[in-house]
Parts: sequence; C-alpha cells; structure tokens
Amino acid sequence: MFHQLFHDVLETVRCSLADGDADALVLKKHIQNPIPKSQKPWDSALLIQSINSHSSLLKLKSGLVFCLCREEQTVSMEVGQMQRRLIEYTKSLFMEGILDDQFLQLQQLQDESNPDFVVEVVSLFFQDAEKLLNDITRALDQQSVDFTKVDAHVHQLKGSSASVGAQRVKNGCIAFRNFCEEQNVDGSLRCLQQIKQEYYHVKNKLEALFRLEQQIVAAGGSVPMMELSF
Amino acid sequence: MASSSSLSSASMAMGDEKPHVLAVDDSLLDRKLIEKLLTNSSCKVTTAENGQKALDLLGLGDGQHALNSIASKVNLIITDYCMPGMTGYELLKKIKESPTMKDIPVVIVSSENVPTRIKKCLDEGAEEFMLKPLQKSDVNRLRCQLTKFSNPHKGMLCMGR
Repeated sequence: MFHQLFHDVLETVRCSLADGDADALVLKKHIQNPIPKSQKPWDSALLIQSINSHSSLLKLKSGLVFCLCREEQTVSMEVGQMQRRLIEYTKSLFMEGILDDQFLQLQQLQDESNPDFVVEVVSLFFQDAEKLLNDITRALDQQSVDFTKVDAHVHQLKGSSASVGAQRVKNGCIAFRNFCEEQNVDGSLRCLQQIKQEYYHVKNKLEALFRLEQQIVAAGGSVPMMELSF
Repeated sequence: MASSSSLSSASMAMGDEKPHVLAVDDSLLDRKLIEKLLTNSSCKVTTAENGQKALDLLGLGDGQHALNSIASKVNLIITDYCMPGMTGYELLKKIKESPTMKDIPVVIVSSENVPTRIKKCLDEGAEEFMLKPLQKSDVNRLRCQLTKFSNPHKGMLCMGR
C-alpha cells in the first residue's frame, strides 16, 4: 500500500512539473522501474521530512517543495513556489517575444467583477484563429485563389492576435499580407505554415500559463500581477 | 426638436451620471475588450456588431422613430474603421448627416496607420482617429475630453495618462 501511495505521489509530482524539468526525468525513471521490497522507497534525489503526523514535505534536488498529505493522499506544490514559477514562466514568454505588452494590458483590465476576463478573451482569440486558419487554408486550396478573400481573413487574424498580444502570430500576418498583395501562392502557403506553428505554440504556452494560475487558485493562493518593467 | 439637446449635456450636468458610449466593431473579441476598457473607466456601454445595427440603435435606421433609441443618451460613439458592409467612415458620414446625431463626437479606431484614411475621417468630422488595440491611457484621455466637452463649467483636472 505504501508503494502504491509512493507511485501515486510520484505520478502527481511528475505531472506538476514542466517538460524538460530535470526532476521530471528522475521521477520518470522511478515510475518505470518497480521498487523491490527491500529497497528504500525514496531516492537520494528526493528528501522527505515529516511536518506532523498528517503531512510531510517532499523536497526535490532542484529545490521544488511538495506537501504530501498522507490522510487525504494528496500532493500539492507550495503556493509561494507556484507563484514564483508563474512569474518566471510569464517573463519567459515576453523575453521570447511570444507575448507583447498588450497581454499585460489584458491582465490589468481583469478585476473581481470579471475574474475570468483574460481567459475569456484568449478563448475568443483561439476560436477566431482556428476558424480563420481553416478559412485561409481552404481559400489557398482553390484552383483560382481569391487573394482579396485571403487578405481579409489575414487582416482579421492580425487584429485578433494584436488584441491579445500574440506578437509572433501578428507579425506573421503582417508578412503574409505582402504575399497577398503580390498574389504569391507559394509564399502564402509557406507563410500560412509559419503562422500555424506560431499559433499552436502560443496556444500551448497560454494554456500552460492558465493551468499554473488554476493550480495557485486551487491551492488557496492569489495569482500574482506581472510588473510592467522587467 | 432642439438639436443641442441630443448632446445630452443636460444629463451630464447632473455630474453623477456615467457617460454612455456606443462602441461599434465587427470583432467580438474587440467588442469585449473595448467594453471592459470603458466600464473600467466608469462608462455605460452599448455595443453594436456593424454600422447598420448602430444606426438602428440610434434610431436612424430606415423608417425608424428616434423614440425608443438610445440616441438622446449617447455621449460618444467609437467605431472601428474596417468593417464588412458599412465601414466606420460610412457610418461616420451617416451620423454627421443626421440633424439629431451630428453633434455626438465620433472616434474612429483602426489597426492601420494610413494617413489618407486618417485625413478622410477627420475631414468628415471625426473627433479623433486612434490606433488599435486601444489602451487604458487612450480611454482615460477620451473620458477626460468627454467630461470637458459636456461640462465646460466643471473644473475637472485630468491627471496623467
């Protein structure tokens, strides 16, 4: 029973970690190999400390701390740590140019009267983008391409991406419009591929960001506000 | 019908009433954004998804009475330039042609910075031309101008951007 709990704990912890995180790889190794009865269940990479009879702290080599509640058999990351992760993650998205200042504007608009504002607006962006990318794909697939139509769709996509701060998608659209003007089908197709990639990239990143926020709120914490200057 | 009453300066003179803005944009995302920007700045907002719906709301639709319209309450109209059907420019023209609506300030917003487009709109009587996406500082500025416009005697100081 203890081994089952151990596996459950590791699995939960592993799911909480971002891809590529060194600890995720350590844990993956543990989960794949069955633990013999004689062996100590906790690897030296993991440290376990009892806080009280109900809960223990699980500290990973990287410094991440999890709280294990034996009674409820739950594992949760410490709130402060989650908040720091969220800030670092958001910062990285700005540094990489995936998001721009407009995204911060959206976050600043959110308040208690509308606590899901950013998620709602971003969801609208996802809906818009997916529909428009389909429309553009279909339009470029025609025997005789109607570039006015393609341009209109790209213009709309540019607008939506600009409104949420999806910088790379927006820039892709700006480049695309040049190909439309030239009535260049090959260039347009290449550009479309590029924009699709950028779109799915930003979609994954934003969904991960929202998941981090949800975890913080679920743990009883508040979502930290990004500073405008960094 | 006195045309100056459509300025709703009477309602604004009460001081406590929120300015009422009509926002026109074909993008649902942008409508949601502008609505939040304006409500955060203590404005009452009505949105319309195209020029025709905006005209209907203003009581300027074909064969309409101004009776049930929001016309007398609107202090500002913000419209996107690029819209299918009726563009923001065409909507502006229709508003300026109306004896009841011509004095309501109209602001045109666009994602594109095209000088000829800007000049065209300003020449037709647009109050201002602004670039999208609108930011809090833009709305703050508009809000200040609105207060000054309707209440020249109220010495309100508008600080910062």
